[in-house]
Amino acid sequence: MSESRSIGEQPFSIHMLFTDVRYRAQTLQFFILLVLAIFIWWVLSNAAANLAAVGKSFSFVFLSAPASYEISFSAIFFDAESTHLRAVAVGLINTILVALFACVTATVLGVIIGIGRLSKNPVIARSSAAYVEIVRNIPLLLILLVIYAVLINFLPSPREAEMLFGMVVSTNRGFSVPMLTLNWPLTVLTVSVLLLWFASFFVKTERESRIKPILYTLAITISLVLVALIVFAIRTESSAIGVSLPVLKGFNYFGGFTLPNSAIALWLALSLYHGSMIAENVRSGLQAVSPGQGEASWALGLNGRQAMGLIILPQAVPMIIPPLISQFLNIVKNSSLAIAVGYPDLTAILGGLTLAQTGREIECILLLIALYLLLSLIISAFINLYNARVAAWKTS
Amino acid sequence: MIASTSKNSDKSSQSWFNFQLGRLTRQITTSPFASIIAVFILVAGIWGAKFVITWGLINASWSSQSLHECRAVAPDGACWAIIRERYNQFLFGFYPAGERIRPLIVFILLAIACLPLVFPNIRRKGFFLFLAAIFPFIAGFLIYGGWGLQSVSSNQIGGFLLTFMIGVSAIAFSLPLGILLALGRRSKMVAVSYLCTGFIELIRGVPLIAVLFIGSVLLNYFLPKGMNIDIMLRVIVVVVIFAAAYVAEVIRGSLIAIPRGQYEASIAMGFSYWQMMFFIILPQALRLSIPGLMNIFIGIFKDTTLVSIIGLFDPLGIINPIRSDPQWGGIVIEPYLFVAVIFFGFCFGMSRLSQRLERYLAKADRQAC
Repeated sequence: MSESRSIGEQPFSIHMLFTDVRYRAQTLQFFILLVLAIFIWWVLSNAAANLAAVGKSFSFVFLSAPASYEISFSAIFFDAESTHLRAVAVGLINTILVALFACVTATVLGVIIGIGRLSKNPVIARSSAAYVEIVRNIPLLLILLVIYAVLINFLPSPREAEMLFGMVVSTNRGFSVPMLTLNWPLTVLTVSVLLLWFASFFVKTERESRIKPILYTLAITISLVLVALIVFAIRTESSAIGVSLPVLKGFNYFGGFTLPNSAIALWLALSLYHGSMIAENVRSGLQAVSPGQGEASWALGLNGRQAMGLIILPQAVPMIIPPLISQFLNIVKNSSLAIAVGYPDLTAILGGLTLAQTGREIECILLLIALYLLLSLIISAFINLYNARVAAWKTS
Repeated sequence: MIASTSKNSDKSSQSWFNFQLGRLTRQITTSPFASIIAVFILVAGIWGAKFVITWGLINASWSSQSLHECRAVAPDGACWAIIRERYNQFLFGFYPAGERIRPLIVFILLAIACLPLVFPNIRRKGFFLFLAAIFPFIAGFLIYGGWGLQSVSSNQIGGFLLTFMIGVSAIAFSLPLGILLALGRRSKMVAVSYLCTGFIELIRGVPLIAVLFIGSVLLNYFLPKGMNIDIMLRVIVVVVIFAAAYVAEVIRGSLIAIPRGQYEASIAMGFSYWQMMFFIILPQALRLSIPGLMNIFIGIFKDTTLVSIIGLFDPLGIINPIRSDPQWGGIVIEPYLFVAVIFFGFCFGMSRLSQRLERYLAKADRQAC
């Protein structure tokens, strides 16, 4: 007597791995992983053979060797005897610094122009639209190179430059301002007071549940400038508290705090370019607020600025923030164009100077990619955090 | 009779002008703050336009042999003589002088192949599709030569020819690769989905210049010894991979936007996965993706300028030898402005084209309903 079987209980046979929908996906995944593993093994063995052929090894020991090059602009102490690892840290800090400043100015510019595009005044609306269309259709690298070329070609040389109030001077080398020199305890104190003030600011805006865009951005800008100045003050040699003024010695200005033109060009280019991108985000966010809201606030007797500040902007902000943060991510990534003007950011140091000095291509570029990924992941985490908070706020 | 008509039209145009002027004044003076800014912008705009016209046209020098001569002839004007002398380099790089007709033919063929995008109602679509399909082969043959044509090597190619070679290949190849990555990311197979997600996020997390470094420096390490791939090909491969990650995210967004019913209906009809994707889902998803894709393509086209950092002579890379040339050293604005205007023209055209295509498709949709 034959066995009775229900459908689907056929004995397992090998061809079912390829034909049966229950197993086919697993088989396919197995083969994909197998091919991938073979590919990775092939790539790695090639790399090993190629490295051996030129007598190189794969190790990150070189990071602790002296860099033996100078960096023109660094927030922490650095000289030719410092290690490559310290150079990487300088680059990372420089990337974060220029990206932070560019984020702030690009946001201010973007909000102004994004609101300007929706102005009832045709001159403002048209000129804002023209700005956005012109800037976002030109390569960022081109904007950067033009600004840099203009700065170094059309500004006077240090010997010909005129000083403003005996304190501020702008030359074809950079922009020099006086700087506070502080000792360590005072620096720590100032930074913590600033941070506290900054934190209290956030608490305040939560309680008042009202957004003051201009005040907000102004406060962030000022505190960032102060923090940056203090960060740079740490590395001055003198332990006394005082003011260091830029003084012309020979062919250049020494003392004070000098921002090189490469940093200014990069900051301006990133702000102008991403300002136009952010303006588009702001505009679409504002347009997504239903027109009834604006009409209702008019009907309640609010004027244009009150309607914008109290009714429309607060509703548009949750829609603007996520694309805004992804623009910040783009600013961090695009700050890598620094290598084209010689601003010592992460790419210029790891992909340029250290790579040329040590000849360790694989290690340098892997480290470069890993650090950028780390920055991207941190910013993505902020986006996710914000989205989660907005979702929680909507459900509550 | 005639005189009175013309007088009438004069009068009506006069009143039209007055009406417009009145409207403009009313609009400008909506709020005191806005009108102050508007007046400021107007004054700055008029001053700027006057400066551009006097500097760029009236006082400019169009034919000189060197920057020194330019500045002597036109001290307060632009020196366009540099463009006149070097426009061939801006267009073709160091392409052999006698052979420049070949890339020119390639540009013309490309323009013809793109005609259906500009005129969606064009007839004989099959011909254009065929042209687009064989275009890469014709272009490769014409640009690189061989088989009777003088062969040209990659390091002779530069200028906008290089920009277009990288840009067009990135656009053409990143689309299929991006679709596969998007489908993979949404796949139910865990391994495939994780691999695609990881790959997309890895690429999107690093700047293009780092990816170009991989192409220019690392790729040779990862290939067998003696297998040297041409720098142009390496750059194109990494730019395609870079663009594909961004394309994949746009397409994934559209795939999510397709109603579930479409998937369920096609499974109910007995379609296999690939049949469902090709005949039902992707045609709708790609249509939804057009604005996002066009943004990415414009971005990639602009980002091709980054190859000048790794030493290729794209339009920005070409400017460096000019600025260090003894005859033209010290020139700053003019070559950059020339390149900027051409880039602006193409990118602005592409964004307008995408808006037109969107409107056309929306209209076609309405008519189909």
